[in-house]
Amino acid sequence: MTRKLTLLLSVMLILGLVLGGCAAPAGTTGTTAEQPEAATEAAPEAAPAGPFEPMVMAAENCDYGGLFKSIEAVDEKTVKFTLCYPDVAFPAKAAFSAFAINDTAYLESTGGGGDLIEKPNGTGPYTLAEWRRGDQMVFQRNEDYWGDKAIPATLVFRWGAESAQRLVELQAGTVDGIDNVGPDDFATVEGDANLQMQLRSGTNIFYVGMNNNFPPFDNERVRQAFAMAIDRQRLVDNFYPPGSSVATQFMPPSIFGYSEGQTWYDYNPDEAKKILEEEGVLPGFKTTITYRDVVRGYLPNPGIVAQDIQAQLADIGVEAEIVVMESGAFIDAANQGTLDGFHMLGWGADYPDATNFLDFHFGPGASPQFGEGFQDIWDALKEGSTKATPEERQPFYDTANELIKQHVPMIPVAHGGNGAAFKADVENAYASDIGAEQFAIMNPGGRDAFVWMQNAEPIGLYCADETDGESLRACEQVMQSLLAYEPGTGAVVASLATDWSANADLTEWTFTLRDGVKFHNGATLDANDVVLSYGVQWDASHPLHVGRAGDFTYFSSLFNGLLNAPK
Amino acid sequence: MLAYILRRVVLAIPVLVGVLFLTFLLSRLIPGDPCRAMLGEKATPAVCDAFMERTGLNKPIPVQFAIYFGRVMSGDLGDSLRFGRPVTEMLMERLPVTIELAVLSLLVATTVGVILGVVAAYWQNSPIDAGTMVFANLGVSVPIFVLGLLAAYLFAVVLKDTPFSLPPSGRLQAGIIVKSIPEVWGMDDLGGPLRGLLDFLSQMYVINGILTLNWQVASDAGRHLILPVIVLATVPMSVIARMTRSSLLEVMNLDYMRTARAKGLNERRVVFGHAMRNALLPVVTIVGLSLGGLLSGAVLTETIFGLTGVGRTIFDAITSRDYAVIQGFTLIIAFTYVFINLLVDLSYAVLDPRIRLS
Repeated sequence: MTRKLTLLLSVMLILGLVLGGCAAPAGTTGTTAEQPEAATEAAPEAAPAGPFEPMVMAAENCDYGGLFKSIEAVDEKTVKFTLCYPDVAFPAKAAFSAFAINDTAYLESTGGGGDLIEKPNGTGPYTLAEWRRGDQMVFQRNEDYWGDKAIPATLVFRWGAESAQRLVELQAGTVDGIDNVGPDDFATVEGDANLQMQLRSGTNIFYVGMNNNFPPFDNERVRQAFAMAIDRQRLVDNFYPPGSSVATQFMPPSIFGYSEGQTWYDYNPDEAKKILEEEGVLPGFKTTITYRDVVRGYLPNPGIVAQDIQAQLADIGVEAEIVVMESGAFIDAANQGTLDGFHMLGWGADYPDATNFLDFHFGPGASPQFGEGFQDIWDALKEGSTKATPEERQPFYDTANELIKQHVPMIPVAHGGNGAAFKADVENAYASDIGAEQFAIMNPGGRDAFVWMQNAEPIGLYCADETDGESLRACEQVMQSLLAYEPGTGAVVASLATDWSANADLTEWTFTLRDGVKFHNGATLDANDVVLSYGVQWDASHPLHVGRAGDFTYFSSLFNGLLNAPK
Repeated sequence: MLAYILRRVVLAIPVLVGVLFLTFLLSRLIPGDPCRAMLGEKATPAVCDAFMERTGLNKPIPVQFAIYFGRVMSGDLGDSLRFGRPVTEMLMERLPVTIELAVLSLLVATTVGVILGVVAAYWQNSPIDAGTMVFANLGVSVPIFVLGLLAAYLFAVVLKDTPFSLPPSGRLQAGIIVKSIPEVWGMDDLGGPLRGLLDFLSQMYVINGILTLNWQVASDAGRHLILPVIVLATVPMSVIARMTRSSLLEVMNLDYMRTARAKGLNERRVVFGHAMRNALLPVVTIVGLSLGGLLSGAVLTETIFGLTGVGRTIFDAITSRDYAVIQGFTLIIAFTYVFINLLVDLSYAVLDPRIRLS
């Protein structure tokens, strides 16, 4: 009986495999050379446009909990976003590459997925010529670009997981620039006359968190004492690469909301010990330092840093056991507020605004990672988010930063820097703080092609449905959003929209589109393109809400959820 | 012989099903949340819920396995969670890279290894023997990543701008365009298995370049393969050299060798005509197993030299909890092992007529 069953299963499996193999459609192997032509085919000449019929997408009401109420094409060149509640950071989010604008006809022709992922049709300075999976991506200059034409006619993206491998490629001269120089290689690059180093100041924060729902962290004076017990300078000096800095606050220096002149508690272990003794915590306090063994820009050496913090705590008489958790479980535990000791975590910028750091962690909607929130911080953040100009907002963030210092929900330790390296003859080379380099403005020593090597292969080029930096950087070369981040400074500047403004309560944002912008397929940009590009991400029931995986993570995260999301 | 092959094929089926089951189970035991591994740690619970629902990962494990098994039975290895692409498509894209690398490496390893082994055995206990065995031991001892990085640095940086310069990584120089074989041959409309085969071969750039007479592609792809092939060949070459030497020495001391010499045969005839054939049996086993190993696990070599092959893909899939890719690629590796083992067993009968397969 068993033999018969085995035989039957075997025959079925063989048949299944054979039939499956035969049924595989021809040309599914993604053969490399077909792609350049297909990329051109993917953006066929746009049909002549008929009379403009403004498009509107709207929610019945705001009960679904998300930010958007409606997106409306006011006229051919004007688009209005009506929000359910104020969002002062809306322009900063609108500049993000996940919210690039697609041509309506092309978007519809792809069904919301398919060719959008491998054959993007944008308005950017480059068009994708070839994507040889597993090997390289080749971009060609967009000769019809509305702005300054790209300097290198060809842009090539390559990738390699190991920093040593990327450096050897740069030293060998086979690439013009590499991302994420290894911490041990900074000196090599800086000592090589043929190379140049470009540092990224850390747009991130590494902190040691405490939860005020658990004693003794429910005592503010105790938290302040622990803030004095950690030698942050020592951690940065010993375990962080050049370009990193000691944190004086939660906000990174290069992002709006940073308070100039703000200080943190000086390292004073004696005073810390004295306070802890006065509060009855010492002697005999035992706790944990929980972290995940995952390398991040804000924490390049998690294990060693944990040990050093453990040693520093031991110096004041605190016995801390190191607990290593699996990454996902650790994030969940932190967000659920169940970590009762110290925890080591960090945050990197999604978009350059204080709301992405302060509101997310210390606002009324923040997770209970640090326990109960603080009403005075909430008030300051609320005031900051209802003012329209940076000048009006900054004083409230100064207040919030000062209150965070007073309440010490966490100890800000470091802003982890990193860097990109280029050949010395590359002009205008820079490393974007948020990883959004524009290679069109770089001149690779007069050569026709610029070859860039990054950590990994992009996953897809419909960046509405991507989250990895490697994909987003590739998208930046081809696709454009309403606004952009200025190279070098990261300030929000005009892109496909030339002007933008909000009503008094920051719930209506109106954008005026640039004239004469053409997609790579020749179609002209209009307000309907904006409505549909946003709308297909926003409305989970839209037939074009397909993407690569269909998650649209950034839209959901930055705009607080999707309309008609599955229950 | 045919009955033997059929029986081996049928017996391989439960092995493959077992591999499928174990891989499925083990991949689910990898700690970590697949949602955050895929979508990033900032994915909200709502997004993760939708992800788990869409991918079916919220179903009980036995249900997931039943669904997966049913799909595999119909020839569908599923879609990559990370790339959203069919696993079979990724296999067709990445297997050729590994096959090209593994076959060339094994060719180099076998040729050099056998020659070194024979030389060492022939001049047993001489300085030549000692030298070749020191070389072989070094090959086994030096870690691949050290050897790879040193070789890349030496040939790409130190010897830069010399005739000995070699590219440190990648498959082709940036900007070289590769056309598929059907496209060059004007067979764009071709479909079916032949098209699949030609597309598969198109991904082996050296072969592609030769078949399409595109010498730029063939030579550049070849240059890119020199360093990874040498590095990957080092360990099997050393093992083959040592195995050949010891096996040959053992055979050369047997009675029939004495008889051959007594008959007046010259030493070359004794070694190559009589000793080698028997001495090669264990070497063939090593070569076969090495090929299986090379096809499945050149992770370090592929990583150092920037080749996105099978090993690198599985490694990335494990770190990102891309279950379908882990399962699909492992199944193919298991299939490869079974197939190669069968070939090795069959080769015994060819090499040694005393062995009867039954």
